[in-house]
Amino acid sequence: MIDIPLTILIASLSVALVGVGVWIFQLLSRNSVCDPSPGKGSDKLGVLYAFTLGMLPWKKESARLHWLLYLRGICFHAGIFAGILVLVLSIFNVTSNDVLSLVLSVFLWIGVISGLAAIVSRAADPKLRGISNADDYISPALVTLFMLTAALYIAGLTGAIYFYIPTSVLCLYLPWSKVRHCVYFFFARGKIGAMMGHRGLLLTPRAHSGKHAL
Amino acid sequence: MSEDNSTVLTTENPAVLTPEILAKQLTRETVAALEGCVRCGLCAESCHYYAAQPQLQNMPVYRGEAVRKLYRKTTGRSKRLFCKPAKAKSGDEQFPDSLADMAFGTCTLCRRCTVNCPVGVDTASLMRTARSMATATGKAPEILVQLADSAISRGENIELYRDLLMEQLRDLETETRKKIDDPTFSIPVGRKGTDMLFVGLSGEHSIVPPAILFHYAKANWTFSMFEASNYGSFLADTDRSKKIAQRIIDEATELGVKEVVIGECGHAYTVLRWEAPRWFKQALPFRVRSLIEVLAEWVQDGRLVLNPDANPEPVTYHDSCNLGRNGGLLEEPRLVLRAAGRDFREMYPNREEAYCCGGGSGMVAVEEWEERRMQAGMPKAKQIKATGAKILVASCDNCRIQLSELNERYNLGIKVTGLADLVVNALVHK
Repeated sequence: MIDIPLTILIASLSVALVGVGVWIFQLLSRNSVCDPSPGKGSDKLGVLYAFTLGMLPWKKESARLHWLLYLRGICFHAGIFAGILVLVLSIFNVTSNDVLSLVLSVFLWIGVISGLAAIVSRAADPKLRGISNADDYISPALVTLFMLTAALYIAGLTGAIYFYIPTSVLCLYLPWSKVRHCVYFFFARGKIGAMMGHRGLLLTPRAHSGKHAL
Repeated sequence: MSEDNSTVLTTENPAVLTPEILAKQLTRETVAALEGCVRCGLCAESCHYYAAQPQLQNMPVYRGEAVRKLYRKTTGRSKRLFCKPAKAKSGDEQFPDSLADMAFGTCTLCRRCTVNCPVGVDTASLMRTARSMATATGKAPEILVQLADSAISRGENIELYRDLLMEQLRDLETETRKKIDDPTFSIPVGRKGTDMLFVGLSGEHSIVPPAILFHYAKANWTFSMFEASNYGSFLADTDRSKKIAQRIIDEATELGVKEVVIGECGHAYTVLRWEAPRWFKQALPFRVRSLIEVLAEWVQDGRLVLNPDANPEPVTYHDSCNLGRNGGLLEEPRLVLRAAGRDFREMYPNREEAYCCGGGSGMVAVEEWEERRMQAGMPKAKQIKATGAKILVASCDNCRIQLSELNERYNLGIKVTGLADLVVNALVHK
């Protein structure tokens, strides 16, 4: 007997994956700027730095000034990864133990709270509202719904259908939404890391120590 | 920031953004910057315009969105998953005056927002893209176009300028010989087979102090017929930029020098050191260094002996965005400053987190934008004041002009000078 919700989910996931694949293909088919200048440092180390030490909150003034926002972003994304794990476990019909379920639930609920906070703060802040479009509300709402239904599902409060249907909607929307920044993030951040590494700009820890003048 | 509509640039030519102009811009890096932004707004405070006046229009993301709107309008991307890359949706689009004004008049391409973006969205590169399109559609500031074209013309007709330059240099030689009481001082020009071609800027302030240092360091050098400035870079016009850079490349190649040393100029260093090899798609046939790097080397190896007591007053250093955050010269100037002065004081934040002075990327050349510059320079003025320094060293001519004006506007009570000037003052003659 065909599991209809699961079938819809698999089809939606396929659409999302194809969509992401097309974005990656289209991006890679564009010209990239090569840099033949003799480097002062290492491009590779720069890329490594960009995705490791460079991500630490104290490495960026923006994160230091808005540590709560930065933390909210981290929690939101941790919740997403927890939701993806719940989805994978569910698709392959793997039963998680109590400890794992508890850990995932914690991440999911923190993610849900972070998602709701992000939507509310965007709507409440006139400047953020000024730079936002409809997708800036729809995407986090769908992702938050995904985490919420995952949390309810793993807690045994709802059946799989209530988890799969919102997830399917998210998957179908994903290729046209800002969620696809998950693809561009790696290119954008990697490129900046490579540039900084190439030009010898890594590891200058004293840049912000001392009293900020502003 | 006051809205100064008189500075919105217009042209007699129809400002049409053709698919070809747009297609040239859409590299992998640009598209990643266009599509990667999640509009979190964390970049806001990183911009000196926003730090001076916290308004929506001064948020880097707001500027980025202006380019994204044009991109979406002209390509239909972000709406359709499958579309031909880099093709205009339907016919040509007018390039918006407001975007030209924004790209040239409200962003100095300092890249402070880029290093502060959690995703790594390079909004400065989007503004550069907007500048490029504005230039191609005839909407760039006229003065920048004139300065770039004038430099190209000079390169094409160097014989017309040679005698005048030689005469000026001989005068400078005579004056400097008297000043330093050394009849052997000279400014060599067109000497073949030297180690170094020094490319300065217009004005004796960028020629004499380095020449004195080269003289006492016994450098095997020659002086360039051309200025290091590259206004094509401010226009984000690769064709003009290449022509301007080519003059120096040809001169260096003809003279057979081992390296080209760029005077104290931020964008000129970044252009020849980092950008030109990308434009020409190959490494240049000589080493490119900034005067700062050369001085740091000579101070370290004892070729220049300095007496820090000669500069007893508190000194602070302004990190030019092009030399520091974009150029990688963060420690070299500090090494020299600590050797040349008794009381070096840092501004905070500094190095790759330093604020732009507000005069970069051609802003100082556009007279109508003086008020904008002064407003945008307020964060830097506060930084300077907080150090209590009496001398401010800036190794970039644009920065020096802007900082001198900030000094007057905000009563900072400082003396703005170049690194070479301070080193000359501390020089112990051998």
